[in-house]
Amino acid sequence: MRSCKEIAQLLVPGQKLSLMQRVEIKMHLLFCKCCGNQQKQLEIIGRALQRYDQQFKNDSKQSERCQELTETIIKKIIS
Amino acid sequence: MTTSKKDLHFNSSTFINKLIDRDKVAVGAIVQQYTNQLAKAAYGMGISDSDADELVQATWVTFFEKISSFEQRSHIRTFLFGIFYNKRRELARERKRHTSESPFEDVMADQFNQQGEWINPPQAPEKMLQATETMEIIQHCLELIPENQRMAFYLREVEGENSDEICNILDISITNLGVLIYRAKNQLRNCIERTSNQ
Repeated sequence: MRSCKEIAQLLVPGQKLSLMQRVEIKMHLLFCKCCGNQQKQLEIIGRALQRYDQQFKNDSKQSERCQELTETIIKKIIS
Repeated sequence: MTTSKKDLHFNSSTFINKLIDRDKVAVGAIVQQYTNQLAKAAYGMGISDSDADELVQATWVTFFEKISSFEQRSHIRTFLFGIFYNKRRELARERKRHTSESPFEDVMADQFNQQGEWINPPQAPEKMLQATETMEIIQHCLELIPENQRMAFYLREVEGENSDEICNILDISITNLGVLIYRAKNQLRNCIERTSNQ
């Protein structure tokens, strides 16, 4: 079985992984609690950020600010 | 982020010519469409409100200065965000805010011992769940990540931008992008874990 470090290296995004490598990752995550925890933690952070993004979109104070900023910029560019 | 019909229309030569001529409707439309996204990217990540406003304004000013030399090889949004991220990098350099010397550079080396085992094994995720209930800890930890990692991470995880576009915006290779995102994620994870244990 590969070490946690080797699995971490395989998990760096943007690589082309072979089927074998993907199976190795799956197996490792199944049996290794630490790496499994790491993956779950990353998912939680990802979800929190998405939530924050949604909150920002729905926040009326922020949208007011953005609207003001937009108007200032348009004036600046056109004048 | 998926490209809407409106975005596509922004890339037509007619529209870009209107921008060059400072056509009121065209300028209004594009500024209206993207200021929110720029502002969110600016407010969201550890700069003061007034710096954020200034950054967004400066981005648009440069955008309109350079629009006549825009070659339309990439989407106009990529062009705009490229300017934005350059400005952010400049600002970070000026403020020297945690940029070059991150307390946890080189994540891979720091995380594992010579046998390739975790030095500080990640804990059960429940604690993380609590720590991320408010944005405070995440915000604090985002500020500690080096600027280029934060940008890559933000574009990918929050904006959901595709990799090619991020590489264009940040002017980096795809391998580079993978490493940046990996580092950003794990530094963030480390920091949140440590902070929530305090």
